[in-house]
Amino acid sequence: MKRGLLVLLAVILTGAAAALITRRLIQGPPSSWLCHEYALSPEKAERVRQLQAEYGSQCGPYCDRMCDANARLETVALGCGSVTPSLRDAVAETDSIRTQTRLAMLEHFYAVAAELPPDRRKEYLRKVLPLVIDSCDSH
Amino acid sequence: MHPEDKRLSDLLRESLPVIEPDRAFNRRVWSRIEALESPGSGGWDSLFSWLQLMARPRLAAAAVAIALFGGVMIGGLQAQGSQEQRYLRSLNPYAFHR
Repeated sequence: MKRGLLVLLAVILTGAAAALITRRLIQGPPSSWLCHEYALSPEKAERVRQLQAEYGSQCGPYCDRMCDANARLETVALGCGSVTPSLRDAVAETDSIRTQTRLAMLEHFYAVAAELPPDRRKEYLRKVLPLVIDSCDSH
Repeated sequence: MHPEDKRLSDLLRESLPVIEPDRAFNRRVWSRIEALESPGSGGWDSLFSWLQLMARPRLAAAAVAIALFGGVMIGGLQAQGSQEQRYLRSLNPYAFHR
């Protein structure tokens, strides 16, 4: 019985490890899906990977700034009993960062779309635009 | 009884080997009877009796091979299915935080 339990444990561990390792090996970088889905040439794929790396380094700081601005907004909002000028400024600051982030995202989407086959650019944009445009489907 | 039958019976009796049970025989028989009659033997033991099959080397090897194959297939399907979502998540700037 004990030996059987050990074998069962080994079977479960083997299956889980095989699934995890296979998943990790096949996945590759996030942009690999794009290259495969849109059948990009090696040159285009390299350009897309470059754009993705630039985008990552560009958008990270936006997020940090947004988190700082949100924290400031929370502090100011908790300290006020009504909408004061400082609260207006704090709200405007978060909106400004959000706008800059969305514009940076749109720039990246258009840059990537330019590397894709012309007849499939709109298809790509339809997939990524919901990230910057809020959905009104519930209305 | 026919005299020949009696001779045959004597011959048969003599030809049968006399088997002396070893000293542990009685103890083994009783321990097996006790194990069968004990209340615990019908519960968990019988529920997991299939586990004893796993201890057989051929079955164990087959189970490991099936698990390996199944794991590779599941991992491959998961990777393919999540690629698009993974790409879209990578575009979310707030995912870069922390």
